[in-house]
Amino acid sequence: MINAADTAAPLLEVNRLTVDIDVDGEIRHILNGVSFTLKAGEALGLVGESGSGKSMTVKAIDRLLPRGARQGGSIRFRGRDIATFKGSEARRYCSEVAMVFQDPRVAINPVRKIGDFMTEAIVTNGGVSRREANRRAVDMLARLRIPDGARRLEQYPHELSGGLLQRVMIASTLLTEPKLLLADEPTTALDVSTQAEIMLILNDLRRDLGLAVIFITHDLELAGAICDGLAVMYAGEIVEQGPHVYEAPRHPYTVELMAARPDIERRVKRLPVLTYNLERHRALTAGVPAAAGEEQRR
Amino acid sequence: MTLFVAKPTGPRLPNAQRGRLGLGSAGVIALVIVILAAITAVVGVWITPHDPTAPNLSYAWIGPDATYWLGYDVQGRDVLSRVLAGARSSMLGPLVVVVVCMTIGVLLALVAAWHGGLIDTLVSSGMDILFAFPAILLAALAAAVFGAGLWPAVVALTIAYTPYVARLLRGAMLQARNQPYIAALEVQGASVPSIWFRHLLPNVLPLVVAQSTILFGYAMIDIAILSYLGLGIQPPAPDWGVMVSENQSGILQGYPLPAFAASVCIVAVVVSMNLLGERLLQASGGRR
Amino acid sequence: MNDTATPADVALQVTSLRKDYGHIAAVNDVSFRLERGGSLAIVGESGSGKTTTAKMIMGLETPTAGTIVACGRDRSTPARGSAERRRRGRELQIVFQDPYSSLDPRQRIADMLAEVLLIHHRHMTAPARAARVEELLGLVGLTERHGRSLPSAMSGGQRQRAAIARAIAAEPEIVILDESVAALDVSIQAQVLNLLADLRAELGISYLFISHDLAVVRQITDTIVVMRNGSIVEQGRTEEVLDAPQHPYTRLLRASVPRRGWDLRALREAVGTGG
Repeated sequence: MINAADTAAPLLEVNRLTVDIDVDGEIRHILNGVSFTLKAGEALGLVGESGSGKSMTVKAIDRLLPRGARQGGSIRFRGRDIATFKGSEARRYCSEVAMVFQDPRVAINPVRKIGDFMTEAIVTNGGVSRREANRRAVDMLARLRIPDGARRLEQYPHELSGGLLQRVMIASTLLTEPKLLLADEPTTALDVSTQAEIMLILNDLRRDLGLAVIFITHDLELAGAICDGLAVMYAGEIVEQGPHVYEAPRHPYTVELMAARPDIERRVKRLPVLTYNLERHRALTAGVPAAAGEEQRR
Repeated sequence: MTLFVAKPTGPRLPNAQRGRLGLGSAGVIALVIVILAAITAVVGVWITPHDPTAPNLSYAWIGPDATYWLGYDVQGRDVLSRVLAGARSSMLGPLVVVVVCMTIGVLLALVAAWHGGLIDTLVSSGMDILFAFPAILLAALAAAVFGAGLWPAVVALTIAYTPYVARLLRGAMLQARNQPYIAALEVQGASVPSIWFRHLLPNVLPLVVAQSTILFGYAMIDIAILSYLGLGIQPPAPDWGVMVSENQSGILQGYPLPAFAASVCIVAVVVSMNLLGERLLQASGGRR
Repeated sequence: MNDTATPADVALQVTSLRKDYGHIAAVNDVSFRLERGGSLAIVGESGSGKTTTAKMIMGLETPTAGTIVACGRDRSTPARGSAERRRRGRELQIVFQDPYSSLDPRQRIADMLAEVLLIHHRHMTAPARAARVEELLGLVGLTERHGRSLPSAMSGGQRQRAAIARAIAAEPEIVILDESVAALDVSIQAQVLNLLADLRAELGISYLFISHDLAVVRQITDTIVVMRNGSIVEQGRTEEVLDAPQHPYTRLLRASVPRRGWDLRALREAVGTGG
């Protein structure tokens, strides 16, 4: 499945990505030059607070930017710019990049059976027979530790718990055999023990299928515990990234953010409050050539 | 029967295009039409150029001239005067229907949504039973009992419309009632009337207003239909519905203007009201 | 009614609380005590009954059996009359999870606080009320400008501060914090947790903290009650229960929290046995 060439070259290269959105005539810079690479089977934790641009980054990768958004820089998948994908190439890209959302209930049609929902993509686009599609769906459910898959296919979304439904969502996105999974806070709405179980499953899939994962979360501990590396976002930029971030953060924002989080092992008298702000951020980044991203803005 | 479950449909206008009132240019035109109709309803009977009820059969079906701008109707009465004078009963009927329906509907919805449980079940199933009677049937019954006229028609339509309104508002009210800020007020010990009228109602008010305008349009059409069928306002009273009914034979005889003038008034008001309602719903949806 | 003579140092005493929905017991034989000025966590996952328990204590649900005594007065039956409802409001208040839906979108923050003051102090003069509103805003770190704002003009953290100001406006003995910091960003969460600690120290309020986040629970509570399927499986001092959980379910919860060197394999075994 994965040959040496595949693993050597990055699966995804995001280079100086910028996104501007026009809000009632006023241009807002949502992303200001985001760059990172991801190899097959690698898990990247994209962490940051609300409004930091982490969701917009994966939307750009999934080509789901809101209308009127202007994108600069490039996103390369297997070395090719995704902006150039048209027709069958674009469809293939769509099936190779899967997305899992925070709340499974908003992404699933409540009046259709689980089976119809799961197999729709591979039956209509993949030219797979219904019987074969069902067989694959049951296999995939089993891989996600959902026994009795045939019965689940006949059930409706409301008959399943949130954790089970989220696993069904992951199973259905995996049916198209994606190479990259974009997971946007996939366990935030779930209980901690359910979250742990889904993390286990994602970890196994990563190893077994060589699936690369971009994991968006506000939970530093969660991202740090399961990802190969973290990219910390602030004000539409990645301030720090790499495998060292969780163990030994260097950037002042990351350091402060980690310290502000209560620790389950001990209680502190007062939680340190973040002093990092936009002013400091601008002062820090003033010398850095973020302007390189500006050139590519179109 | 008419269905008036309003939903914000059609493309959302960007804020810049909606103007200060949030209505858009079509909405402003609709508002102007509604205001004109309302003014006419109040002063129309006093500004008629001629007597709207004096017949002169020798002038029947004569077209417009310099003093009779819209010509004469089937009985030789001045069409313009009848349109102006007819505005009152044509607008008053729907207005009463809307005000009464909305008042009862809001109260029922408040009670049902607030208490839930058995009371909600009782109110909801009571509404469902009433809901089963078509408005026209109720109106025929009312006409048989009280005699035909504007008020029996208004009573019948009020009974027929209230279940729709109560059901729709109950849903919205229930959603508002389950918001944590309402629970916070309950825990504070705020009085029930103050929660109802200071918090619950204001938060569904945009829906109530929008629904009222749409309901007004339908009530107007239904009263016109009832008058046309002889179950509503009785001739020779000036009324737009009655005018369509009286002058329908003129359409076939080549004198469509009298029936047409009354129809245009009805359609203009109904369409304007509907449009206003829709825009109000959109505007209130956009603020949330 | 075996424990009506509640000692003065107990803010809230819950005894053998039970709530049935049809044949299902959502809460079953739940007893715990919150000391005056103390902070108690109820932790558990969805379906554990922690929310139902909180609702019964708030008076939004009526218990099937058992007693709830707050500030020495029974509140296990619905309040009779408006005076009693207001008195209960001065005993116990709540801060909800979602800072968006817990404020009336049409009401300015200062008006919201003034309304609460009017409920509890009908004879307060307008200038005194305005002064108290300003004081409350100051207590939670908001300014007069925030007071004039509608909730929609404020950030999540600011809204949650406003909700806290509303909860403490009537100077209650007990504040229930129902996942009150769960929806906030880490940086805001730290500020709000510090604020809650300050308010407790300054005003002597007791907290009942409903949460699923054990790290936050450790930071803000002294004692802990672990619930599962409607019953209490373990309770004790927060640090003791979190450092040395006794019940397998508590151990599973503890192991499920992501942290450095998270051992997913060991967890899988725990899921297999505990779940």
